[in-house]
Amino acid sequence: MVLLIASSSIDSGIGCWDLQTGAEQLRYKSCASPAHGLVCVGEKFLACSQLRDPAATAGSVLYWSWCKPQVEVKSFPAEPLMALASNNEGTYIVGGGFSGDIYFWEVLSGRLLKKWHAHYRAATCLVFSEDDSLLISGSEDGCIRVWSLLTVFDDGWHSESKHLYQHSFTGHNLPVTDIAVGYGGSNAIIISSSVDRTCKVWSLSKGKLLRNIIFPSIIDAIALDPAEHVFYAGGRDGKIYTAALNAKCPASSDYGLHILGSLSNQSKSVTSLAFCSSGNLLISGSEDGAIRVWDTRTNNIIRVFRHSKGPVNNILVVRQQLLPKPQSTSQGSMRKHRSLLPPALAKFENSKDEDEDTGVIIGPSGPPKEFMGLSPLSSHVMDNQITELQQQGSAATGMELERLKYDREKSVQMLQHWRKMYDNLHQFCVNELLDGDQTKI
Amino acid sequence: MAAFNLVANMYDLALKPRLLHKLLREHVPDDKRGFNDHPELSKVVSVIKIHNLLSESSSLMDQTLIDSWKSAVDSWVNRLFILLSNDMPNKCWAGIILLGVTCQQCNSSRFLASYTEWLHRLLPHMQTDSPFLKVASCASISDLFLRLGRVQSVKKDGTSCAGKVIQPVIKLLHDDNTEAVLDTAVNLLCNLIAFFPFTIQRHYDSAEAAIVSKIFSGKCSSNMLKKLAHCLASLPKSKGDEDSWSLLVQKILLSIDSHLNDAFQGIGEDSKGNEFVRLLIPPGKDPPPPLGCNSMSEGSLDKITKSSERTLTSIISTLMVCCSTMITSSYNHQVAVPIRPLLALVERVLTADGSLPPTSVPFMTSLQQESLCLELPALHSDSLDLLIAIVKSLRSQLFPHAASIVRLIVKYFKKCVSAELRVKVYAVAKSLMMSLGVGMAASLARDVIDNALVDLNPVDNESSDPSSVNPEDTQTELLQHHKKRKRPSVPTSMKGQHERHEPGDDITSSSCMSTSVHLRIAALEALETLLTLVGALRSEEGWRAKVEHLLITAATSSFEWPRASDDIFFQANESIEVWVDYQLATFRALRTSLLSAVHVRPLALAQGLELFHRGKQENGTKLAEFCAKALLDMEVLIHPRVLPLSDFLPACSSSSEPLATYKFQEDTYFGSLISSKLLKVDTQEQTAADVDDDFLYDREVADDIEEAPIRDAGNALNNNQMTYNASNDLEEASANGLVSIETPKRTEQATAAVITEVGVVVKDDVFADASMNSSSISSKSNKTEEDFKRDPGPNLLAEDDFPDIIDADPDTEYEE
Repeated sequence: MVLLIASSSIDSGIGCWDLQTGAEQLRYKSCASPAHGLVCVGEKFLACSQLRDPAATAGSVLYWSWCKPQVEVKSFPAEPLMALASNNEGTYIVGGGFSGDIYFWEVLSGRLLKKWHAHYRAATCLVFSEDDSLLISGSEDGCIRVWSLLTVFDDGWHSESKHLYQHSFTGHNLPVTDIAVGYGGSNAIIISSSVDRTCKVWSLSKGKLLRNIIFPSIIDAIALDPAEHVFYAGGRDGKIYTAALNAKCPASSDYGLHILGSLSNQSKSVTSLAFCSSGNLLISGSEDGAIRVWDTRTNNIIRVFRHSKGPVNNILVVRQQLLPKPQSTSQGSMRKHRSLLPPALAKFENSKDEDEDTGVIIGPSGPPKEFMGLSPLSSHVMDNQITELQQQGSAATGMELERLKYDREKSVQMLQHWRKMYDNLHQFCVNELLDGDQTKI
Repeated sequence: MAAFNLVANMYDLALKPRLLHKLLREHVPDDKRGFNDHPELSKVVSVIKIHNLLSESSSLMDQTLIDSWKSAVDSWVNRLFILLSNDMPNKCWAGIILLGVTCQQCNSSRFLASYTEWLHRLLPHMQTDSPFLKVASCASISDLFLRLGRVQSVKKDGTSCAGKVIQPVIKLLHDDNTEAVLDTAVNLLCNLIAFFPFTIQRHYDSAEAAIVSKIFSGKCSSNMLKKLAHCLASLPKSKGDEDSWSLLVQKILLSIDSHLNDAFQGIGEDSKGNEFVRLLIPPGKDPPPPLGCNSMSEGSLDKITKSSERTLTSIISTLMVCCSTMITSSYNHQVAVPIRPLLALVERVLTADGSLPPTSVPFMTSLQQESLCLELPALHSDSLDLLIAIVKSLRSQLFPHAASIVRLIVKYFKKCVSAELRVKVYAVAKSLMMSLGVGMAASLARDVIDNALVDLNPVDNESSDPSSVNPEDTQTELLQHHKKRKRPSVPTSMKGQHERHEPGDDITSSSCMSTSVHLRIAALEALETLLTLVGALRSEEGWRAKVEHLLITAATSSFEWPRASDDIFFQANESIEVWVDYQLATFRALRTSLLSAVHVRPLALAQGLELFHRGKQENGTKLAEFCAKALLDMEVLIHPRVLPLSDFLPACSSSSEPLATYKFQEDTYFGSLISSKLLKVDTQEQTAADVDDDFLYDREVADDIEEAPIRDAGNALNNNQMTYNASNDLEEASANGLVSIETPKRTEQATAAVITEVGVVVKDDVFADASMNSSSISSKSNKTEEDFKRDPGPNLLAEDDFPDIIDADPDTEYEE
């Protein structure tokens, strides 16, 4: 089942729909998210950072399990977080703070593994690269930085190198609004959008700007076509522009170089975009609280969901195997599910010594597989033993010896038997002879 | 009448009871007849399996058939009972083993109805004196439980049955020293742990003690030890909770540590052992009881067996295997892997190389050192295996510790000489790169390449023939690049290499290899993984050219099968099959190398394609199959389908990429004036690349011509079209492509080193073409090379040719 999940900046919960049927699932309560604040952690649960009063000293990150509308775990990081991201496996949660710090937590233990100063101003979006080894962060100061997780954790690197990041792209003049990463390991591209009305395409391997596209309006959201033919950019003018990556551009365009066209049907600004590869659907969230599903082949709207009155600023498309059971779950299973959620995120980094206490926690990994490998023994053992018998191996000789012993015993018995019979016969004969003699006499 | 009661064919079900009776009559021993022909039993079993004689198929409609089959199986079972109670050991054995087969083969309702009775008949034989019967009965009982464990409805009953078996099994483990008995007993125990965990729970400690005592006894073979390790590792599954798992890991690690203390006595690293204990047991907590003991009061098994070096090593390696099994198998609860102690353990073993601390007075006699060095490679190998297991089980969670592992591996790589160990180090590098992705690959890249270049270099450097590309160049370059490998000059370095790998083997034929095939395969695989992940990264450093050249050479030479005279190959007792794997590995790596090159056309595309074509012709081999697939993969390189993304044409990627067409909008001058013209160029870019022979001959002025399509688009194209002839075949076209790509490199790099490289490349191409073109080409190209050496002028010119692009190029500004 493919789920569409959306949240808004005003408190109207997290909406959840089945993308195929359009049926609304559970609505998870009390969530007012900043843009890029909603993540699905390893397809196991939802996590969302919360918009807080600017005066608040601590931030807030909430967890919901699939089957329960109420918040299950609340964490309070040291400062309000803007963006939240999680790697594919769901082992880490990364948060970008208002101060420009990035916080790195291990999900299963809730430990804050690392915190570092990444940007001069708030980190607005965080994205993991496709193989989860790089983290890309965009900031309000217009800077985009690429971090290798390996070096972030490497204390030796800090002393050797003057900066922690792999690349720092400073092409945008105004805050970065969204980042998308393509496929292809080291050769992937990064696309960033900004308030400065441009989208820029960067090369991860070279650390260079590949393409700069100027749009007629500010772009708040981008979504990448999985085959990287084109990408979609949602503008504040309510249009979704299609921009060419590997597609051939016409010589002239209505909107500008590299812009192939636009999808538009909405008056209000597009605040979030997501692409669903099953069915080639593009999903857009709008300022007016509606979520529209577009068929990218026909450029038609095929479905509209109403989320709230406020702007929909997060959209996730999540593939889910088991159905989240709405309300009908019994108390027992509720408790069980509760225990499945990991503990809250820690506020501060532990000292080294404390870290040594607990190891790295590996989550349950499904049914044990090795039982399947057990195979019947006896015929195999029999074959082995037969060869052993033929080769007169030690154990076999033992058995052979025993057999011979047994044979001997039997023969001895037989011998005695015969002897007895002989004796009897002898006696009989003697008696007979004697008797005969007596009768003769 | 019965004599003519014929069946339809051999699949007729009516045949089955009759066949079973026939078997009983003629082949299965009974009370009276003697029994000497043991192999006959194996025939009986195979007949039963093939014909499914015991299955009593439930789909039967015919009641008489059902009855007759049932009675046949009944008499089969009765015969087995008679055999089981026979005093003759071999008949009894036949009964036991056939009952085991019956457990697997019979109908499930029969099995469920009679398994308790069968178990009761089998059990007494487990406790006989004859090891032969013990083995057979353990195997049969194990099969019985295997079947029982898969029936969910009788779990409870099964558990109580298992309860009767568990104590005799543990007793067997304790008392018996026969390998075969232990083997089946361990199998049975594993079976019980897997299917009837509740039974084991009550006997957890005694089971642990029994297994550990066997491991510590030092009397088991290495296979047996592995089995014991797996059994010990699966023991916590019987309890199924996190705590017992952690406790066992802790116990095992402590035991390894204390054994290591014994083994490493005198090499002055005792502090590491203490440090390790501190990591494992946080201050203020009690250490767990020693492995194999339930409480502190009992004497530690470690102390009882004060063992020799050899057993010490086998104990340590068994426990390490146990650790890796524990962390890699799957659980349905979460487990906390004590990552720091594990890594500390690995590091402790890997840093021990038998050398003594220079400062202190040696605490070790040479005899002790000898025996330590004798055992160290085995320990290293085991800890590398453990490291692989850690990487595989932790995957992305390893990030916080990854940097220290990288440092350890890099350091170890430099020291490690043994081919077998190097194979493992490559495997570690490979699994690290696969699990941790691009970031890891980037940080390991340099070391993997360095080592692979050393391990894959053919010996024929000294006797290099002038026509081929000189490998010394790469070697020297490598050395210049990485001074840390400390080889002052080529000849000595090569000699050093010989000594490292096969001492005294300098006088071998040119096609002979200096390193074992397995090592080469491992190096190639690591290289392939690296190229897959970071083929595009830092290509400006020029490592791609080196690697590509290396792979081309390796692939070419892999066609020459080793001859009987190649001592090394046959000395090492490698089967010739290995060579097939080697061939395949080279081609795999080459394919990845060609495909992963981005932004530029692979330098050796022409040569590569030719090799793949050649490989494809080896019909019927794996190689041919792979080459056919690889050619399909590489078709996109021949016919590019996508337009490159890069708008900002850096000076480096001149006409080789047909991308020069789109300019970004800010550059209004460029956009408005030239864009229409440029678009036209784009359509003809393909033909522009297919330059003809004349073109090739004019290589000296290559730069001018290359830029021609852009600068004077019209002229150049006309020129092309005029001289274009049909003879331009594939190789040629790509060869031209190669040269034209190479040019931009020059503009980027420092002149001297680069010129040699360019020279190499040019020669390379010519080599590929030599077969189909006249020799004049090669003389030409030599001239070209000289030209490059003499006059670096065109390089500088090339930059000047794009003044407007350079100015508009934002790269400089955006680079870190």
